[in-house]
Amino acid sequence: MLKIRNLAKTFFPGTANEVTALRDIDLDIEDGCFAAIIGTNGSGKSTLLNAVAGAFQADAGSIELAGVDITGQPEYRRAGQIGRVFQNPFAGTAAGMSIAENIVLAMRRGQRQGLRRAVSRKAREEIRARVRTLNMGLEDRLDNPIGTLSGGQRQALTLLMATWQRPKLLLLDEHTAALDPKSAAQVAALTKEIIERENLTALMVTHSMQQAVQLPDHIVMMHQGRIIEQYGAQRKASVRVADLLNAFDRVRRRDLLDPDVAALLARQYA
Amino acid sequence: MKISFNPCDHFMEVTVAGRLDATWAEPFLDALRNILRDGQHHIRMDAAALEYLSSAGIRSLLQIHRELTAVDGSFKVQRAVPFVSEALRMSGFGQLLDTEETATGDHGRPLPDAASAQVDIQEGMAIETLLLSPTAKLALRRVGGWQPWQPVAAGCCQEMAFPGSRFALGIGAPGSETDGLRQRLGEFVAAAGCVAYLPGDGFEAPDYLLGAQQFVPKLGLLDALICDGEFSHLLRFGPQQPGACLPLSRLTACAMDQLQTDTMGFLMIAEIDGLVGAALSRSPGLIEADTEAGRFPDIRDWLTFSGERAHSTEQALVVGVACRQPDHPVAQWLPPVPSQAGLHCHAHAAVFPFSPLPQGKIDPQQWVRKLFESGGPKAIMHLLEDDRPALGLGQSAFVRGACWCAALDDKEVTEA
Amino acid sequence: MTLVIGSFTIGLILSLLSIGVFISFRILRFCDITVDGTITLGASVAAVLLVQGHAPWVATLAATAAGALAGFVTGILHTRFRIQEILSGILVMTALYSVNLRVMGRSNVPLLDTRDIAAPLAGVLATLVEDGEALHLAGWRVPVQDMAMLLTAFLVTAAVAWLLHRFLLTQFGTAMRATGENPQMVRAQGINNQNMLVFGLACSNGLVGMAGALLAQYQGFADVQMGIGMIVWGLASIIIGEALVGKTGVGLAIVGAMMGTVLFRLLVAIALRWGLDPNDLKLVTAAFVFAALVLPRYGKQLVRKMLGGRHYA
Ligand SMILES: Nc1ncnc2c1ncn2[C@@H]1O[C@H](COP(=O)(O)OP(=O)(O)OP(=O)(O)O)[C@@H](O)[C@H]1O
Ligand SMILES: [Mg+2]
Repeated sequence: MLKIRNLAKTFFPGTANEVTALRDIDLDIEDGCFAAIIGTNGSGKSTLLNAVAGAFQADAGSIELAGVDITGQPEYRRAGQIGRVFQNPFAGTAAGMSIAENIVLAMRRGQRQGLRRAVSRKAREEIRARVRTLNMGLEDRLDNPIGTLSGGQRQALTLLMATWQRPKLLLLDEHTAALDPKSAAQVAALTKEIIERENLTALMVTHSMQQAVQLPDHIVMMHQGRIIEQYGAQRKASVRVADLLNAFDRVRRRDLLDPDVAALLARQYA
Repeated sequence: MKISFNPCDHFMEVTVAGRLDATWAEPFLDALRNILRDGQHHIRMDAAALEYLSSAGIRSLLQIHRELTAVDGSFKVQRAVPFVSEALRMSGFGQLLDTEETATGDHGRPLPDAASAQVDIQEGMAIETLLLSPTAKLALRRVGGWQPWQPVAAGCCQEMAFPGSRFALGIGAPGSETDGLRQRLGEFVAAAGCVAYLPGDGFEAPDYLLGAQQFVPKLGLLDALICDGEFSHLLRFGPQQPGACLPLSRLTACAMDQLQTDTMGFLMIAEIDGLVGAALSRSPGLIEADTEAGRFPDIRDWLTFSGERAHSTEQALVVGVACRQPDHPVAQWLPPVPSQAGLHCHAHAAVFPFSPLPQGKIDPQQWVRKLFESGGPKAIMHLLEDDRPALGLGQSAFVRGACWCAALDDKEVTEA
Repeated sequence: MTLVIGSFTIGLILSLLSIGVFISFRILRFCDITVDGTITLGASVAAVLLVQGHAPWVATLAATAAGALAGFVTGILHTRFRIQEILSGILVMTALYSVNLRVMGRSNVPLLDTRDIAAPLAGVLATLVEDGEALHLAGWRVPVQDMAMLLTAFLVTAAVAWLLHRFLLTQFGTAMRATGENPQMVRAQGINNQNMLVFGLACSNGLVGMAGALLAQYQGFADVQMGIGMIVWGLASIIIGEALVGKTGVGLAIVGAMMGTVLFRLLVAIALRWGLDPNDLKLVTAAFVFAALVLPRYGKQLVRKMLGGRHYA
């Protein structure tokens, strides 16, 4: 279970560029819950994921994963329990290295990298078997540099790598956004399949309301660094795309309600 | 396919040339629906140059025929070539054909009853006044008397039923205080035995109650204005020039002139040009003592502002009470309209998908019910005038519609 | 023939430098300038130890360790103190200039009567050839000394190359390669990319230190100036190597770097023989690296223009 309390992050504090990307975030994600984060551009979704992954230290607040406070842990240490897929299909793999070599790194995630041969025959067989489940024909191209694959294929492999060692938490940051519609649908379906099969706890950022409604069990809506709405188990069941759009519209209108409008309402709302 | 329009005195002539088949059926239907929306309910189709009519084409003819007759309009196909008239007859829709016998029949719009009608043209809008029962007056009752942003005391919501003859606006919710009424309060509009209300749970998805046979909708009211009685006048309005519309304050002023009164209640169904208003996003029953719910920024948690001239081209059901005598007791219950010194008006609107109204004298009960039956309300709001300098959105305005109204009976103004 | 043997020997010794530069520039993708200082450090440490009478292999290993320490410091400056990579290299390189002077006590240490690392092999060879001094190769007389040095350099370099190749294919080595390509991905796999970088730089500079030690033993002296421009030589060699073998697997790249270095030394020797002023050598080398870096890009544009692949009209 992921437990976030009072998480806050301000970039460039005290300068003209000061951006408060996260304020007072409280979030609980139960074990086995697949949660989507939606929100306008710049609402702090990626920042939240980065904070959980440990890309930077938060200004305040705590993050607890499976009962362990990981707030002070460096990114690489957290990565032992957290799998990640990035928005950029090129970010999750090392382009010049072969598929097998990339996967080998993921196979030992969170363990010491030893001085044994990386792509041993045993490892190779295991890799071939699991890559075959992707149904992309990649099992015959294990020695090709991963940079020669398409974005969708790379993203599918990154997903496979992120979940190779069952992570306590899977972080997906708009991982289908940079793909063409067909690959995006394929990767989204794969995501859902893996998460359900392994019963993973996952946090996915998405801009697609359709995805937010269809894939996860829980929706977290962010705006200006805050969580403004959550659709948990029961409400999630009845939520439609239009409801999410309405919720965003409400947020937009809430921002429109400035002191002038407030004065207007004070006079005429009676 | 080629389609051209030729407005005649009492009908619109539509000339269709070419093939009316599956490809063209939808665009054709849309074009004719626009004519209907523009207020012309009688359409004659000149089919002399129509070469081909498929079943999809017949379907679209039938559809527009149905929509026009629903608002007392008419649709006829004239000068059809044998193939077309044959196709229509064979499929049993011969009644669409305007044969020699019916060609000279009545297809004009019913002329207003000369004695009771008077047409007034103002700033591009034609406003026609029809007399219903000239001496009728409305009894106004104020219930609840909540002072905005005060905490709601237990037991201060009154229950009230809404039979067909009553129309009302205010803040309330179905249910009783024992089952959490105070957590669900929101704006409502009631008319013709139907109630549209906001459930006050922050989701702005309105709900509604439809009176039927034994069932009379009931609400617990925090604050409401309730009118009982008959209407004396009906105002029908529509644009004379393209783009013209009628702002709410002008409509009320015009109605009060016609009624020769300073206080009135009204019920309106009209196509929206734009609505400006606000609605509760949380039930005021949740306001706690010693908080400043009405002040910025807390008010953001309680009210949402439309932020734009919303819901254009949709149909509104508006219920309101207006008074233009500032020292009249009723004026104390109504918010002021900034652009019209002395005018006070409280109106709520419920928004429905557009559906055309027939012309002339129509029955409020029947057409309000039709609105509810054609699909629930999409939004409800308290109308207001945004008079902020430069940014102001102005007030709500309407394109065409019907407004039933009557003067308030000063002797029957009560507060409970 | 002396020329060829000399070029091969220096080429093989400097292959260690090239392999070191290959690790930092190509595998870690880190512009490590420390190399210029490290090679001198290796040479001076080895020279001083040899003068003090230590065994050549002890001196060579100590030089390697000293080089690794320099690389370690550069890595720490960059990762822990967040100094830009070039600047951390420059800092360490500059500091090493003084360190080298301190180690040697003066600017030049000649190695006159000391044993060098090739001595054991030279002894073995001497017993094999008739006159005990030189062997005859295709009619040329090659001193045993030179032959032994050549063979030793070859054995050491080959061993290092083989070990490095094996290492890069291990789990740890794979992680190190990935660190250079995509540190973010490596972090996401639970690997400390910063430690990886520090370790890689230590390896790289260790090899450079070893190259310095061997070079000092071959040349017979260590000089505080000897490192200047070495980084560019290393780069030039790698570029030639890549031209020879293409940018394919790691193994081939390592072999390529070695071949490139030897070829580069040969070219240099030929150029010098043809009368190139030794003072101009570094300018020519720099120009060569510049051309090698720029020409591919410019060449592509040229080809595109010639083929008319893109028109602005
Ligand atoms: N590393 C950073 N340095 C400075 N500012 C940052 C950094 N990362 C994010 N921000 C700022 O923090 C705010 C939130 O950014 P974030 O990337 O989390 O938004 P987002 O919700 O992911 O948006 P998008 O939908 O565009 O991905 C933005 O204003 C952004 O400019
Ligand atoms: Mg983002």
